[in-house]
Amino acid sequence: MAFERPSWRTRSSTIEPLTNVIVEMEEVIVTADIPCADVSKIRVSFVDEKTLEITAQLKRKFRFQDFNISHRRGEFSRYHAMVTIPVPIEKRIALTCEKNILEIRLPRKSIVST
Amino acid sequence: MVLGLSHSVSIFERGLVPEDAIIIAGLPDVGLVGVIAGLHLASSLQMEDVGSIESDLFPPLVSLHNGLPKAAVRILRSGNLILILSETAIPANAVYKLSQAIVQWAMKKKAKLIISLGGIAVEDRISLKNPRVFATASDEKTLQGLKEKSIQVLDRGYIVGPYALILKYAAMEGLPAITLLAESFFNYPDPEAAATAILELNKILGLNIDVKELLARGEEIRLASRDFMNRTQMEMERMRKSQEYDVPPIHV
Repeated sequence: MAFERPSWRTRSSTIEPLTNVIVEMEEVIVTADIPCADVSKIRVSFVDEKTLEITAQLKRKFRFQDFNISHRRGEFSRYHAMVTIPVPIEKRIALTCEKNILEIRLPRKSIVST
Repeated sequence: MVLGLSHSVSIFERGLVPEDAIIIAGLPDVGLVGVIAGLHLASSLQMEDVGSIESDLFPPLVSLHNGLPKAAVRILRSGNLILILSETAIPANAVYKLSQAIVQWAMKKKAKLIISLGGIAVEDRISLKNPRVFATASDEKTLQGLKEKSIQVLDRGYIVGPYALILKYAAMEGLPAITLLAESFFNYPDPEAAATAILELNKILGLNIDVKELLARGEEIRLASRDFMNRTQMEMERMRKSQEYDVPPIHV
């Protein structure tokens, strides 16, 4: 069993957001909860055929002290997530962001039936 | 004082818990609605620690506050309001014992009412400006009281988790209980839903708890609650929480 890792990465100053992947008949919907992010600074790109990389800049830097944690060092300036898409998709991305919840819609690849 | 209520859950009282109290449960659930609402109640009403719930079924942890250990599941009080507040995900295998212990303790303390604050996950939550709050009750009289206050009743469906069992055991014991469920995200912390649940609680109990600050700090609360939400989601999956989405069979 893999050792659990924290959702905060001090080396890269990133925070891993909570994400969801929903597979619909014609599209895949990926959502990410990105509170306190600057919605004008979101980047979504494909790493490979089935991996989506999401980064979003925070409006300000957060430190552990902001959450009354004094024994840890580090500050965080952006969200970062790698999301695996479970079915084949077209590499076309449609983004919306409401209430700082990012929604990414990806059309599924049509499969020719015989 | 230790009340030996079951083999694996103990309730410790360190302060006065009055009789005829109203017990509010703020346990981790969908959207962390109960916990976020509970934390806001605790600070708004300046509640004091009067006890804790301990169990060998809980993770072996303490929550540190200003360098001092606090139980992960605390009992707080303000006047005749008692709040059970958990700062850790409740393990799926602890749900039965914990729910039994809470109801037995409430009976022993001659509590007037238990109100569980929680969420009910809805798929279109992102597009909802004003989440609705649904309620269920342990008995007909309590349910009628909710209807008279124009609170929407959850007529049919399933509730899964500690709130389901608190409601069931309370009904079995004849103890009035209410479950207030605000429409929320399943696995994203939802301070808006928590604020809506508090407004309904105000209506039921005649309180006047302000939610402006809770809403204003919503994004910060969401950011700080990610890890707790993640662990709660793992436990919800173990207790098959998704059964709440199921459509029950039709009664002919």
